[in-house]
Amino acid sequence: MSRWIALGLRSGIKTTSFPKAGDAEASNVPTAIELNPDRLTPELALAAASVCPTDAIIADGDTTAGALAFDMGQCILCGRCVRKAPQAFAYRRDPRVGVVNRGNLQTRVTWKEGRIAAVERGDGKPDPAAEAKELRRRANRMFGHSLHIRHVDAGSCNGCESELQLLTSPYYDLARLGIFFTPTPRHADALLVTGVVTRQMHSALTETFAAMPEPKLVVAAGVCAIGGGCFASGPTNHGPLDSVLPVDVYIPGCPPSPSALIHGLLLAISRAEERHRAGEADDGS
Amino acid sequence: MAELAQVVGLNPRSGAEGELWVECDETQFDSAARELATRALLSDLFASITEGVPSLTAVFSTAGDSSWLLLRTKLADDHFHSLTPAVHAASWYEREIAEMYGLHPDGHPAAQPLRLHDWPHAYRPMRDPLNEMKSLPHGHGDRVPRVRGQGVFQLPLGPVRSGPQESAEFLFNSGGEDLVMVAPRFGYKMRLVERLAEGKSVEDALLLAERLAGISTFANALAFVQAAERAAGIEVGEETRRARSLLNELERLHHHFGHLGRVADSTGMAVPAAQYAALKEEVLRIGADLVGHRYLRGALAPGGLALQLAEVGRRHLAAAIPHWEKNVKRLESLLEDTATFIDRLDSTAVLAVDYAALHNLVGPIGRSTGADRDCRRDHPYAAYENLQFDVLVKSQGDALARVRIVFFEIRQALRLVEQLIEHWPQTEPATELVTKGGSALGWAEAPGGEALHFVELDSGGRVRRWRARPPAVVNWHPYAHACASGNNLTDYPVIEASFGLSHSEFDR
Amino acid sequence: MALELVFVAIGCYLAGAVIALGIFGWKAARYLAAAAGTVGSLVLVVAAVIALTSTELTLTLPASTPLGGFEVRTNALAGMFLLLTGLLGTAISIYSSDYTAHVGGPPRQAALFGLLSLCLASLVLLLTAGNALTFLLAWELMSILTYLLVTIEYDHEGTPQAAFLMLALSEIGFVAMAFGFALIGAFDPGRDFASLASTSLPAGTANAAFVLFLFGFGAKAGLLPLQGWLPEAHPAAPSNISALLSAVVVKMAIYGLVLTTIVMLGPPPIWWGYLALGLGVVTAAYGILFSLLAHDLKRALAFSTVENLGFIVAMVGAALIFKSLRLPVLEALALVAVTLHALNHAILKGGLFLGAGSVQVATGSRDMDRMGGLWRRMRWTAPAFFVVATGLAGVPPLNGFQSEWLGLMVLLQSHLLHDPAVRLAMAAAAALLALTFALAVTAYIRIIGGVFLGAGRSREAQHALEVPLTMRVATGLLAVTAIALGLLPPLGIGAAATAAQQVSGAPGVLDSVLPPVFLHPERFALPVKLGGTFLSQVIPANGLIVVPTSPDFSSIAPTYIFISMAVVIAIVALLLRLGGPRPRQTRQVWAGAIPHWEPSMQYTATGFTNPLRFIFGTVYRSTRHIEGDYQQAPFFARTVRYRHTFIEPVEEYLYGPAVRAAQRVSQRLGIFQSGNVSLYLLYLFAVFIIALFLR
Repeated sequence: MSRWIALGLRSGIKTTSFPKAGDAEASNVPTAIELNPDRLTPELALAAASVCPTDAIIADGDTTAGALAFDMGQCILCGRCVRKAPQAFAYRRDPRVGVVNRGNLQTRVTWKEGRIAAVERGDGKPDPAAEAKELRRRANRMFGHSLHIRHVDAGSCNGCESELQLLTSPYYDLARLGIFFTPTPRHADALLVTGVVTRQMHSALTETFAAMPEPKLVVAAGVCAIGGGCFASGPTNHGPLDSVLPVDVYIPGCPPSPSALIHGLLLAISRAEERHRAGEADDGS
Repeated sequence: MAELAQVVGLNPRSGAEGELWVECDETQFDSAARELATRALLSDLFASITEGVPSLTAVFSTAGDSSWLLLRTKLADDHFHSLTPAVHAASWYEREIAEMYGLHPDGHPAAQPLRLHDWPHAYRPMRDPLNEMKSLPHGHGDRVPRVRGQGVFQLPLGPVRSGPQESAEFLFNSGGEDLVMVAPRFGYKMRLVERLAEGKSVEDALLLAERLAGISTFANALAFVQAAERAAGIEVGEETRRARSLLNELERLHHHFGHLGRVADSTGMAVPAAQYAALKEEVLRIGADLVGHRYLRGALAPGGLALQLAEVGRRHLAAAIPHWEKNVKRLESLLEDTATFIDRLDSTAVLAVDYAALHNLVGPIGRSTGADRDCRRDHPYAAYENLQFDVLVKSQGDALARVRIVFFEIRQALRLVEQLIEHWPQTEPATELVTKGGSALGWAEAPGGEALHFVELDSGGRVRRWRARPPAVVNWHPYAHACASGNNLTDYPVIEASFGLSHSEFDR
Repeated sequence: MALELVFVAIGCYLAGAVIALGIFGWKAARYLAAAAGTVGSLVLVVAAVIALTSTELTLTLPASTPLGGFEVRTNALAGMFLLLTGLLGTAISIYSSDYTAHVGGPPRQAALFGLLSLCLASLVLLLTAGNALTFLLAWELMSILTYLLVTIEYDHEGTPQAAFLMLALSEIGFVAMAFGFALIGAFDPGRDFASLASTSLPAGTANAAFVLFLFGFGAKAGLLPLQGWLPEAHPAAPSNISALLSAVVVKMAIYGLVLTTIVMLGPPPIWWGYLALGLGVVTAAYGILFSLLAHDLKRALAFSTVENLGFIVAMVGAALIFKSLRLPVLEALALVAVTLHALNHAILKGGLFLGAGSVQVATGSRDMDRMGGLWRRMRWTAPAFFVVATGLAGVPPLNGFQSEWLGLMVLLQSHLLHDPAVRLAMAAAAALLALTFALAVTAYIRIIGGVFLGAGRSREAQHALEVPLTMRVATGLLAVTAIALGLLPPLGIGAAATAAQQVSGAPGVLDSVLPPVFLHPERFALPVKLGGTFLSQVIPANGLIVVPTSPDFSSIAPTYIFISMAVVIAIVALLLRLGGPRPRQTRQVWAGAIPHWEPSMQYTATGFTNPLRFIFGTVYRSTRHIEGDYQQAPFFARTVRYRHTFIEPVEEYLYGPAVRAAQRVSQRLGIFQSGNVSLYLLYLFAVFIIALFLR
């Protein structure tokens, strides 16, 4: 046993200092797509929409008049839009992609007479619950330094689970932030759901949520949970997670990297701030 | 394989390179399949519908021969004569065919649903209109086998389990601390990806193939893309082949590191669990450096790779190899020296050689029971024909044998990566789209074993039928029997970790 | 006064037996019979209390036989056992009024009441017997009556065999006992127990007598190796009779053992104590080990009786050791433990068997693996059962803990002695007893959990109904008595100390065990400082602190523990109530969100102690068989069967060979039974000649 202890001590400290500082090593991975509406043209918009395999980029109309709806919550980061229209679509490598409002992942661009007319951040619909949600998020500070998470796999490809399991690895060490996984929903503060909600897992998911005591949070991790990703039209897909449970935080990605997951969790307990406000990437520190 | 076909009285024609096809009627199919199963291995058995007519296809392979034999028959109605009483490996395939296509195997001793529990039995997910599925009521669960005896009780595990794990249900029957019987129930994660791919282009279906399972993304995507390439007659260059082998081995490394980390965790060894998790993270970061995605998604395209392997990735990889080799060797020798670790694995969940042989197991689990199969060596693909590596086979069939084979595979993967780095593959991004029709098999050695895919493309190059048979579909079969071989409840986490099988590969 | 009341009690019992005949005509007569038994028992309790506090009385009856006349007397030791007989008799009589309806039709009910009343009367006669003849007559009556009572349900499988085994071993014991009495001259004219106590015997005779008495009374007490009948007969009997057997009848053996070995036989050599101590401790361990594996509720309780009786006999052995070392105070302490545990076990085990009878009536089964969830369905029986079960598990501050603790403290006093052999023996005994008590806790957790907690594992358990009032009252009565004895040590310990004082001749035992903190506070600085005079105005007693030997060694105050527990619980409840209403949600049991949860997904009583089969594998020699019915072996199992086997070493290695040997011998002797009349005449002639010769 002592040889193991010696080995552990000799291996030093590998843990990232994220979120206190940026995680240079882990931040070389694309975590989101950025849309630059200033460089967007109707032709580029239609071209990008034609290659997007999910509902992340949808365009209607023609080059004269039309609209583009861009939704990060459906983006599986296949990169086709970046290859097709690099002027307007680019990779973003900051892992802080989680949002509280679903609308903050969406942007809508309309054009008339062949020129870009309007850019709307958000989904264009006023969120009646936005203020209440924000208040709740601030109240969730009470979970501040001890958050217990119950994870449920509602039909994922196990990529998200792999990233979740790495959260307890030496590189990320979730416990240093006071966040833990718990095997029982009775002790859980937050429900972390990955995967499309399959028909078969639907009742298990709702039962797990019901077994958690108030107050409780729900975090949707990965685009499968947010909007279904490339399985959105799947026949066993019950629907996006927010059609089943009230979601507090959405973390896009396929799968979201461990740093993105950390940011999303801290966002839920008001220890971090959104960087994707109304679809606009905020590069301030 | 051709001689074998002649022995059985069949006259095969050639399909794609290395494939022999036989079309026959139902009776001949039945007798030929039974005869072939005694001399060769049944690698897959699946159904498809062509112009409204159901058909069955059986895939056979044999040791020492790199070709495949495909046996196909059209069915006159929704019944066929079950192969299971003679060929046990066909059992779960036939159950899947029955539930997905509504084609009933007559004479199957236990044809209950494999994944569709609690579903209306009349609905056929691969045949009936999709829009009907949402409005289906939930059925009643099928009977769970029970053990009779004084004081025997059951312990349910799942579908929502303890840590961040995949959802599946296991029902234990126990007399109190001993594991008498385990009844697994899968299908909770079924997304029906095979049906989703129908009608899509190869490029779009490739996105689904990558997301079949996260930690064996590349291998399944590679098997699929190779099937499409062989179906459409697309050639792949040598440099691309080398790049594909490199990424295949890189995935094997991160999968096996994660696997060993879970095994160490299940035996309560926190330090090696952390060490292996750290190694896995390092491999994933290098993957991200190389292709821009930790799990190597978006790297493949029909005809080659979708991008060029990044130079920064090459530098990081070359620097990391000696560090990984040192760590792996040190961890392996320390673990072999730790009595508590070895004791918990030794003789746990034993799969006897002759019992396992009936299931035609693949991958490290198969090799731990004496099944000497590795499709990198037996059916060389990508660049493996020109690479040096060894394959370890053991016959104890217990958890220790499985773990030792994984130790060995890690060292072989590092050896292969070193060979591939020596002459770094220079690739150009492939831009060809698939527009031709055809059908073919594609395979790759995923970390869990042989991933065998079959693709049928229509004349426009769109997917008409995609059959995905990742290794977990085969390897979960003897799991319940292995659990019940004299183990305790406390052994169960070790058993599950030592198998290290994926649920998303099985449920699809 | 005491003797008069004893006769009144006997009269009530006989009246009850007569009234029982009326059940043939009028079913409700059983309530009257039960009432007669209750009244008689209550009178008996009063008599017992008087006997404990007054001096010895004797009464000789005029009838005479070749072996002497009949004599009855009361003294403190008898009073102690009369007390427990009376208490149990009350509860059993009340219980029987409605319970007998489940035993069978009017003939069986009448038989049950009649025999029960007569049996109680014989028990009273046994305890008040003043000479050997009366004693043995009462003993035989009791044996035969209990045999008849056990066979009342003769149509149940296994009952006749169990009863026969009980009778056989009982008669073997009786023969040994009778020989013992003959050896010490108890049948000589004019020799009663009082005069026997004051005569001394030659060593050889005394040793032989001791072995015979130990063997003879041990057979009735369930001492190894003669315990085989107990786990068979006690479950086979109707539950009120099981209570009678486990609670009262086996204690008669203890009474007899103490009466003969300690009172009548003179100063004992030390090996007597070793033998009794060793046998007792091994019996206790054996009993609890097999109680842990029994899935039949009453069988588990019966084995627990074996365990407790083993403990009592071990304490008798300790008393013998101290007596041989001439330490009357320690001897008295050991006897306090003996009589106190006899009383406590009687109350607790009686309550358990009555409760088990209620459970059997409610669910129709004795199989703990098919029960569960009865806590909510039997809202009165369940808490009563819980109280007596935790009492017998030895959970402080109830009465079971007090007597077990006293016993262990007495054994630990061996550190004051000089002889290393004695110290080793007593220390080893204490260690093994401690292990036994720990296993007893497991056993009772298993019983309570398996029977009452969780969800019902069978349809019968799910639809169980609470039992009639009288059955609930009887069980509750014993539970309340247990709490009372625990709450107020002077009740139980006072009685036990009086009896022990009289037997051992050591003065001031009561003051030693229950120091008069109330009466002389100035002498007890430390206990007084810790609040030892609390309740001194309210309770007329010496004090409420139990001190085995000296306060420096150990002491316990169960009353104060009870009061503090009650206060703490009350404070917490009050705070919770003041905290205001809290939102409550009722949800399903969490079982991993499994789609269909069933009651079979719970631990069973058998499963709970399964690991012990392997831990104590050398004793159990447990084997496990898993067999399957396959549709196509070795695949596709239709059913799988799981079977455990284990052996009881005494049955396997002693009874089995003994019975086979006896059968072989009797087959050989069978040649004498040729059926030839002339040969038989020859036998008669030969015996005649021999008798003439001997004369």
